[in-house]
Amino acid sequence: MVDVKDTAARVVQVGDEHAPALAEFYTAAWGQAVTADGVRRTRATTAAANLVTPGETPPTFLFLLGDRAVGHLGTIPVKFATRGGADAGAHWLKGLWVLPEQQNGPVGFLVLREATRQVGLAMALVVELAARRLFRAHGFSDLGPLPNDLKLLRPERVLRRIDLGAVGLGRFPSWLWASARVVQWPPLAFLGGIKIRFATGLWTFLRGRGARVELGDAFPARAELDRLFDRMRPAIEATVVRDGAYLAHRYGGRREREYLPVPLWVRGELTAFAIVRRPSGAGDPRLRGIRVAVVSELLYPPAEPKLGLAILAATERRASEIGADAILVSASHHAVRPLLRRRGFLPLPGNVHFMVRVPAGGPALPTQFDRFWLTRGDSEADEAF
Amino acid sequence: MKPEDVLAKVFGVPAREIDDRTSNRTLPAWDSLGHMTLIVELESTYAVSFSAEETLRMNDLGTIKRVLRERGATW
Repeated sequence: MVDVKDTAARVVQVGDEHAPALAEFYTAAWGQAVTADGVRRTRATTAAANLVTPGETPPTFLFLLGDRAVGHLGTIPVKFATRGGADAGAHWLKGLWVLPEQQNGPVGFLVLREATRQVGLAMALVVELAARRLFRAHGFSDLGPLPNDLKLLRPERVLRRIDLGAVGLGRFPSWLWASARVVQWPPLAFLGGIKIRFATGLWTFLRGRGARVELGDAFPARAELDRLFDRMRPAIEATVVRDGAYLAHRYGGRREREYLPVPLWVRGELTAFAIVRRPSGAGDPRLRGIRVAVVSELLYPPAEPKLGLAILAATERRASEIGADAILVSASHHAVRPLLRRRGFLPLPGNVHFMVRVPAGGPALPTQFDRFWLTRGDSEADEAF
Repeated sequence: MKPEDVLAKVFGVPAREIDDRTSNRTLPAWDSLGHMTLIVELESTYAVSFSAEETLRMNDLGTIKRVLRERGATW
């Protein structure tokens, strides 16, 4: 059998001595201007911010040919909660990539094999079929695609610009599809937009009104976020621990320029919370300049749908305020799905699959995807939209 | 069993469509996982063990045959 450890071709868990190879790989694979010193600084920063094993650098794996890296897999450590169980350490696997000259060879397989040996409970959000086969071969279960739901905030602008076929709009209701085809002709875009605005507004008024709450705009204190997550977790079978430390680390600090906090308060108590990611400048070329805000994070007690409707309404309002044409929610949990319909969100085909691997002796996880509480910000998958 | 037959079995294509230029660039099913399946199948069929460098080079049938001969395999 092949062993890659004792030869010039080998898989390594990255240490500071591999910083030059890692920097060179980032440049070759993703065009990032990275230096070895920059890699070392980033490793020190991520070690300090490690929520699972503070002070330890999250594992990264490289396939080296001599001193040159040709394959890569990174990890994001998180705490994972299961209903009734103790929190466990887990890792998102992210950035599995092989340089073009070594693709379709053993590199990806061997890098992933080494990672699964080292990290224990592992999860990944994976798009490509070939990558999903690779994960399945290493014991990952494919629980299916993360659903996408989109709401048009400025329908006239969206309909004028969007490539309808490319984004799968054929799955939308027939009345919207018919309207869209007609109003793509610019003079009619305004009228078509009004029609959709009216229909969506009426639907939302009748079906999607939420609780009376106070909308804030500052990042809440960690203790408030801890209390909110403590109220949520008894109703959720499996989720990343979304406490104050996690949320502040993931979305706070210098990231607050791209992520907008959306806290809802009732009589001074934080009752729901969301993170809206600003529309990216480049975006998906199929969107032709349409600005899509993404709900990266969504927290509310699942047993309180009025709060769920209220936080969704608040994310729509915040997205409108920053000039978004549409807002995207990707959420797995069964409690969220009906609320999205009631708020006038329309389903789009999902393409990011949730893969999970539980090691021997690991926590018992549900086998149904809609029992997990996952959102677009998990595994930093919101960067891809 | 000839190496062509091993490739045909692993990738589910007729052996007559395989020649020495058949590679991981010409067969869609020959991805990273397919490559490792092929390596394991070749090691089992010819009772040999490949080094990491060899597995990296074995990206087409011509090279696979050359490596197998170097390992003393016959078919």
